[in-house]
Amino acid sequence: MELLGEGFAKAWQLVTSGDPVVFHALGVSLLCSLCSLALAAVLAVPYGAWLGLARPRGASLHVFLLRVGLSIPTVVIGLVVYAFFTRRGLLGHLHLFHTKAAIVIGQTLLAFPLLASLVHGASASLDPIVAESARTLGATRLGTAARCLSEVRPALLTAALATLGRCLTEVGIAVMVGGAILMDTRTLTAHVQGEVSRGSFGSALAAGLLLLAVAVPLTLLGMRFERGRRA
Amino acid sequence: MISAHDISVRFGDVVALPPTTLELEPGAKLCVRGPNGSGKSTLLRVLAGLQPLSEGRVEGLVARGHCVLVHQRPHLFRGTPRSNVAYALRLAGRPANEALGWLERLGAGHLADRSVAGLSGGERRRVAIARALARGPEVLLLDEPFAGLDEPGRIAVCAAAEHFAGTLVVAAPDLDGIPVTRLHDLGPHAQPAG
Repeated sequence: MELLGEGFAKAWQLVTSGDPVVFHALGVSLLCSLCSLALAAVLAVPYGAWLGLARPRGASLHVFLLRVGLSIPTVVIGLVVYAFFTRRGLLGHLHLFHTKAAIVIGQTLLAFPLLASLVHGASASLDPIVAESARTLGATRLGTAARCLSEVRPALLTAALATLGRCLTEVGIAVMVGGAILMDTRTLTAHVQGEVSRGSFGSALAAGLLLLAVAVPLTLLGMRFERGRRA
Repeated sequence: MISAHDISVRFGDVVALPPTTLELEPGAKLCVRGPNGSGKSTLLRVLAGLQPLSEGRVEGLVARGHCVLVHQRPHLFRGTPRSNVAYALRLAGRPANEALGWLERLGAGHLADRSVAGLSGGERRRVAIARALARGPEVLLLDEPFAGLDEPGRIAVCAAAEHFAGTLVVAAPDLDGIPVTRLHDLGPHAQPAG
């Protein structure tokens, strides 16, 4: 209990004094996770919508592979990205190893199956009459898909928040390919891990509190969208 | 002229639409009459280009947008009746501010800015018909347009159907005051085809 009490006191001091290391890690976490979400969305939203709305032949195989993708541990994704971007790796000449770009690439791989699965689930549950209503009014294929996605907007926003949360809270990729370099590539989760191993519990707890400060509003937003979805 | 020759639709062993032959000259007002399960909705979906045929052929099908189907349980997009009609107007390349006028023709002007989630079945139907008319179709297909409508709603839909200058096909279990000039009867048939 003493450890926890001291830790909280130190954490509170670091957070209220705007500790540059902890807040830099927060900035890196948010930057990398938002970039990953945006990159994943470019691919996952059309792909998930195509699977859910067009129901192409072999869709169940796609869905199976996406579900497999969901269960891959982040350290395994980190290992794969490591293998590509380390100096001796296939893409080592790009010098992306231990950069934020490498974290973004890894987190995009992490985000894609989750976001695509959620978008697929939302669009597949849509009554076919929605697409028919748009088509009979003369909407193009693309316009019909856009109209259908617009009908499941709250579910899409919930999916985006869940994916952002997944990226923000992962640690395997951030450490393995980002290197957790202080004031450079260190994310909040990597900071927690690093500080605990150094015995600096207060600093780790401060990062944990900041993660919570991001996670709670995200959860509230998600619940709000869920209510909108049911309305 | 839309000509359907011996068209039929089957879902596995179930006949959704028995062999049917039908001719629709421009401006015709036709009622497809028959009991539940006789294939009225399927025939309308075929004419709307939404349902592939099992057999037969249709000539002179009108492109989507120019041939609009109002489903038996119409779906309104998220938003308001006004935004729904404005969507159809945008697809037709016409100004969105005409939306209120179309809603008023169906006696639904007072609903223009309400959320569609709070509308009753009859109100939704009126808005869906206003949206279809706003698209300016050559062919209008109404699937059981009076279901769930009160008397003012029926009068408004009848008036709109009467004033519609294009080809009108209404699917209904009976005539019941529908302003049409021709009848096409479909019998009960939903038994295994074998």
